Amino acid sequence: MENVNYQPPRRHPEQRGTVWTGLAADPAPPGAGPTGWRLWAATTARLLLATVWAWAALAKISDPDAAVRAVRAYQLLPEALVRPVAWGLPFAELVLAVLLAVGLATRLAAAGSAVLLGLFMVAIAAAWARGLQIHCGCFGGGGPASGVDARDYLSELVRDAGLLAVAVLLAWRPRSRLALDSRLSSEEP
Amino acid sequence: MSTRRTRNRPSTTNGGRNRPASPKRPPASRRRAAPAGRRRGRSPLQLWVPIVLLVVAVAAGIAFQSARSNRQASVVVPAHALGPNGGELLGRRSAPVLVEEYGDFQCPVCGEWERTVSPTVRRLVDQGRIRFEYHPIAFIGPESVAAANAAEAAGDEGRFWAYHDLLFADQAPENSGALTTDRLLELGRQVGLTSPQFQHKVRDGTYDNWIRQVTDQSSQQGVVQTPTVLVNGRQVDTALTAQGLQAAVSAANPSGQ
Repeated sequence: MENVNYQPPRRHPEQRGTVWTGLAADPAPPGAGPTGWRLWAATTARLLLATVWAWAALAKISDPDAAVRAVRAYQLLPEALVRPVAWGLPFAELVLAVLLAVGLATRLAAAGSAVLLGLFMVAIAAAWARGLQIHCGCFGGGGPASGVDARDYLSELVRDAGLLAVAVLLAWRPRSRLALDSRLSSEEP
Repeated sequence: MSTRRTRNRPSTTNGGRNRPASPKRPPASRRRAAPAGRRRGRSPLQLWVPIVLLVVAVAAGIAFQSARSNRQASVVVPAHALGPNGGELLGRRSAPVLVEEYGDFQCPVCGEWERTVSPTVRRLVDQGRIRFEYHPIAFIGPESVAAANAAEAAGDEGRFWAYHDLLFADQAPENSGALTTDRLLELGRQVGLTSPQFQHKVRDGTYDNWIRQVTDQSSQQGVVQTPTVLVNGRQVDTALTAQGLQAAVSAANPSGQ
């Protein structure tokens, strides 16, 4: 006697007590429901990542020569790739910053952020493991440095790990307030 | 946008929320295999437009930065940068050991090296045991470029080393704005440089692009900090003290002189 074709209860999960007709289309009204804080948390995560990317991008764009030296100092890429990466990467960061700031393609941008942060962590860890004394160049500058020690590498890795966690959470639950995504689609992006 | 998309049927969307309405119902994000009418709607603005934007921005960025950075055509090489590796040279050509330093005039550790190790360098040069080659690189900021340019301009009148010593003796905090054109001209006066040529080169940044080129080449050679000291072409980290430098020079030329 069990109903094989399960029909979900026609009730908005966040609107307890009232029957949800399903006609009050998304996005849910601001502040509605107990998960409202989650949406605002996602917005905060978006803006945090957007700020970090924008800052990182503009600092690196402002001095293309320093960006080249910073990438080269990792000694990971062949010389032919050093300049394209040093010059192109900050613009990828800038695009991520813009997407996250306006909340467009949030899942894609958050996943891209996570991939990029993961790559940065691998590069920093590789530099540390090989005993290189370099600044990460994460926010411009980089390359030649003196007095870089384990604490510098560790703090860079911890910072990136924190941002990576934020990016992964955002990719997992990309819905947020003040996002273009919610205007484009009634479902999650 | 969403009005064109028939997939966004409100009655099936679970409010677009992420939480399942009941344990039996998978969360929205896992409902991709659901019948066609239930698949999530995605605007091209949310996939292809961002990807194309990314590719275009990266390509345009590379072109833009390449144009900004490409100054190789107008490099003026100072006539007195005659070291075996294109730097400023001190000492006799016959000296058996070549000691090189990559330094930035704003770098505090270079200033410290100048006070603690440089006397030993000068002594070894005077004894004819080493040649000393200084590579002025500029990575700390624009003032590093300006200072190195002024030092090269001083070199055109045979005052490179006097100016070099004065810059290190007169160091201000990095990028503090102390090394203005007026300050660089004043330092020139202190070592007897008052010629219009010197002033013109300091104001015009005649050697700025050469300094940038030397900086880029040094990074290609694996210089990742200043001061970097090489003894006969090999980086010697221990040469940051007088004893360390002395030991490295002795090791490079066991017979001595």
